[in-house]
Amino acid sequence: MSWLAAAPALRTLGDALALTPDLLAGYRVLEQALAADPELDGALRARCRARVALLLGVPGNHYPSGSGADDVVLELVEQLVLDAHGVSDDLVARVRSVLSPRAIVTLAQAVVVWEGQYRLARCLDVAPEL
Amino acid sequence: MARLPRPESVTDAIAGYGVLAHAPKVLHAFLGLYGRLWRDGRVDQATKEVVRLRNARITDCGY
Repeated sequence: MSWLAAAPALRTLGDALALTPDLLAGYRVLEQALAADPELDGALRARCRARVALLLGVPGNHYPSGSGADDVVLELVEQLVLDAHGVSDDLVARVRSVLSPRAIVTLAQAVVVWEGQYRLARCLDVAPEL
Repeated sequence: MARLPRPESVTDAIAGYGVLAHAPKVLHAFLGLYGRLWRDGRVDQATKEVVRLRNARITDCGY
């Protein structure tokens, strides 16, 4: 149970952010924009999100299998979460061979949002669902 | 040097955001949330700025 005092008790990150409704609304708009970008494949996006969750120790995340071409994208996701300074020119060049600049920007934004979401949920001791 | 090219066919209003302008809808949504974080809430601006500076130091972002 979250240490944030609220009645009823907070169970999810959505519950917690609902304490500031404008913030929750902004979060949801951003999540929808990230999910709606047609240049970032939905299955790949799901794999990337699962990888972020795995790296941050979020329990119960299914890890769907994908094509080998996705591996370089997942490599970028891992490096971005673990140490953004370790993202190299070579890695970005390899990602550019499979993703458009727009898809890379959307993916990077998504990784930052997911990471923040999982870390915030951990901090508040709530489930990460919005 | 930037690893992504400058976006083409973007409006002047968002061109200043550099490579983020490749995904205009995502950028607008991000700015909406970011604006709320800075503009609203019960935490005063000075405290937010201190937090931002601390975050920048920890992540070595050079802000």
